[in-house]
Amino acid sequence: MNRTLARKIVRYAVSLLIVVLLVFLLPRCMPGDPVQCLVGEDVFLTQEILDAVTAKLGLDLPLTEQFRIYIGNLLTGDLGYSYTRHQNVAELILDRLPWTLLLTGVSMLIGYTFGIIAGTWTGWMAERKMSKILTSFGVVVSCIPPYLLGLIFFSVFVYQLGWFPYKGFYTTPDLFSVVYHMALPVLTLALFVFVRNMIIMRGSVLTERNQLYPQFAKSLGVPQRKIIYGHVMKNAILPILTHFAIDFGFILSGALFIEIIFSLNGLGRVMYTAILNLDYPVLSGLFLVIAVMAVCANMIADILYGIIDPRVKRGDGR
Amino acid sequence: MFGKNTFIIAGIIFLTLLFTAAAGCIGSSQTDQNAVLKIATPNEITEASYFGNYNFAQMTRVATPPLVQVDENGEYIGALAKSWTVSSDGKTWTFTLDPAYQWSDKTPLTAEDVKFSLEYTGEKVTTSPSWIKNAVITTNGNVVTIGLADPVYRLCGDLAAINIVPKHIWGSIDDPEEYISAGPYVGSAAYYVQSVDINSATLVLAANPAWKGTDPYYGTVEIHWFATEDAAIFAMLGNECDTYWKYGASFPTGSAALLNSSEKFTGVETPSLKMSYVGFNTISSQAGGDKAFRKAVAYALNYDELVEISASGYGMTANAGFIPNSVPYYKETPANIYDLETAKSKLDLAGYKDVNGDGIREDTNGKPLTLTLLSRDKVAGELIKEYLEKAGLRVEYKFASDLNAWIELKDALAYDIAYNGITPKGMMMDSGWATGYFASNTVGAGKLQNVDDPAFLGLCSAIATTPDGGMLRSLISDLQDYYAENMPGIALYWCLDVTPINTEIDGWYISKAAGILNEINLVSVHPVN
Repeated sequence: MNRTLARKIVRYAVSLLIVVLLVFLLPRCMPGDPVQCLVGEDVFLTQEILDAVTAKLGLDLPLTEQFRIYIGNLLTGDLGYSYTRHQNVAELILDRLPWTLLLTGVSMLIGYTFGIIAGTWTGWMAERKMSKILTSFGVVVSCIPPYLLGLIFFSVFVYQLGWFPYKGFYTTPDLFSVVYHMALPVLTLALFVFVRNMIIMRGSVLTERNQLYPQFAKSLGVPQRKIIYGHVMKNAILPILTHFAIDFGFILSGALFIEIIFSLNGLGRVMYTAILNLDYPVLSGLFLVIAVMAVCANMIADILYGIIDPRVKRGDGR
Repeated sequence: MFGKNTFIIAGIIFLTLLFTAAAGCIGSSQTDQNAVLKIATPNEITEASYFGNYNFAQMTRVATPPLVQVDENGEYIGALAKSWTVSSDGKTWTFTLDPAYQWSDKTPLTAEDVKFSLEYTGEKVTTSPSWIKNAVITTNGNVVTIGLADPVYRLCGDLAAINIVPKHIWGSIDDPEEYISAGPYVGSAAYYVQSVDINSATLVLAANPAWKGTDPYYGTVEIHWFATEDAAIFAMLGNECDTYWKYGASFPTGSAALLNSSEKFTGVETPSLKMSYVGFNTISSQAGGDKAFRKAVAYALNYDELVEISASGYGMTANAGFIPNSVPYYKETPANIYDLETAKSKLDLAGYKDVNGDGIREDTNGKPLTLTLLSRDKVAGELIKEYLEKAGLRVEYKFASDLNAWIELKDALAYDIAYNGITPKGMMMDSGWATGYFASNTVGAGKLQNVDDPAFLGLCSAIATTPDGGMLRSLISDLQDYYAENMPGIALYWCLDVTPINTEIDGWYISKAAGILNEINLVSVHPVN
């Protein structure tokens, strides 16, 4: 088991090294000139000004030299300085991260919790009318593009009914205002996570339901609630764990479409504007943090797999 | 000598006068401290950097105004400067400051603040005008004199974009572009920036207690930004905001019908400095470099349809002289006319004939001709492609979906014909009158840089160094003749700006450059009742 764990750690370490190289190179492979994006379109410019800005940003240096500086800074925890946002990238990420976590973290918590419970129930009670209605609802919602559903919610609940505010994380920085502003964005995002997990879980439970062990447990007189939520759900949850690991990248990149519709200045939009403006330091910094988080999430998922399914721990499942 | 009663009477008279004067002072202020004007905008402030964030700088121009500003007709008028004069050689500009402007922290605004701001901008701001570094700026009382090494026609245009900031605040800030603060920022006009909060997406302007000009009605002006135009429009129509503003842009013409269906808002149409055009690659394209071909293409474009579809009807068909009729020194030139048969015959005459009878024209040597059309607007690009194909030309269409793709393709001159738009600011950049989009000796993301004709570059150079006056008018006249005769670009339509007017508020003043977010408007607007 220790050899398996060591092998995995080495694998993750190599992945991280490749990630560092990629997050440096990928933004620089994008077409366009960050200096042109920085100075704007309709301004008086001379080549001297452009050259001066290029030199100020260190973009006149050879790529190898830029990489050397990048690695040197990275080792000291310096993710660089944003070309367009005039902020240290690490500070920028830390500044926006809590808001993004508030949006996506709470949404995922709600979506996963209720998705797993509802998926287990609809899978176990698949023949019931209510289960069919809930499943149909899930399929319909998951078929609507997220951006469209967000716009519909915005139009109905914000514009038509006036139940929720138009924008921002708050009007005044107090708890009530934050909850009021975040309610609809969180509910919109949570709905997506909920229906997706419900459908996955339902399918997984349907498979488990036909195994022998639930029937054996039933014949032993084990209460149905314990069979469903104590045994079947535990075994059916493995695909959800895989999705959970993948979703970690999603957490940090934020729910871009939600942030755009509700005018929330979160990490998703930081990344979006950085892509448009070719803000290399911000892109590299965000990609790196997302990659590290995704690697960590995969490690956690690996460990949880072992706990939930001991065959994985023993290596039987490989 | 004086009795007790005399003192009592004198005291009563004194107190009466005091209270009357105080009441008069209170009564003379028309500002309602509780009244709030809310403006919705899609121009986001992504970081609270007064000098570093473009949108923040545009919004704060009403709090720390520049020396001059653009009025409702597109002419320069005084802002912080009450008046100004220019020497006959165009090298010495003298500005007299308006005493109404005072810093909101009660510090007097002086000519030294102006001198500091200009020099500070020249030294610390990345894209500051290059003339500042060679200028000699002197002060005398409330007069500032700028001595230039060479005349600069666009001086007013440059000055209108330089906020005059307090020396006693910014003097200690070494790198203004990297300075981030949520406010307050000391201002000099009727309002100052009280706070900016990127989490609530709100900029708050509060009435300046030291302001000596006409009192504004609203005690507070809030600018609320949204991530999309649609959200900003919804906020306005949903009574969350009183009006809509976007820097250098009209209310989305595609949504203008919403204004007409609203009881609270109406749309006011004004001629814009904006326009759309197609430019030709006159440098490396055989067809694009052929004047006869360009003139033939000018007849192939359906201008009326472009106005209807691409501009949603909010535009005017343009003239061969290119620049819009709302731009200073405009003169009448022949109108651009859509006539497909004339286009075809002119192409035939220019040698672009269908030699092999397949319905597609060949080049002047009889070889297959495929024109590369580059466009930044999908709909307009598809329309232009259709028009060219109707004239018998084969077209390869490249849609530049974002700025970076556009820069790559246009800098590589990877086009024969390119569709682009001109902004109000772009109209006056470089040598002005849209020359900045064409001159090959300029640099910039939005520019085609597609003309290296010495005659054109010479004209640009002359315009750039000629101060206002008869000579400049003559040069601009020559420039319009050059556009009409050589057609390095064809104006497709001149835009009309739509400004949503809240009918419950009166006193609207719309600047040609800044729209409703200008200091004259903020002082003049007030509720109808």
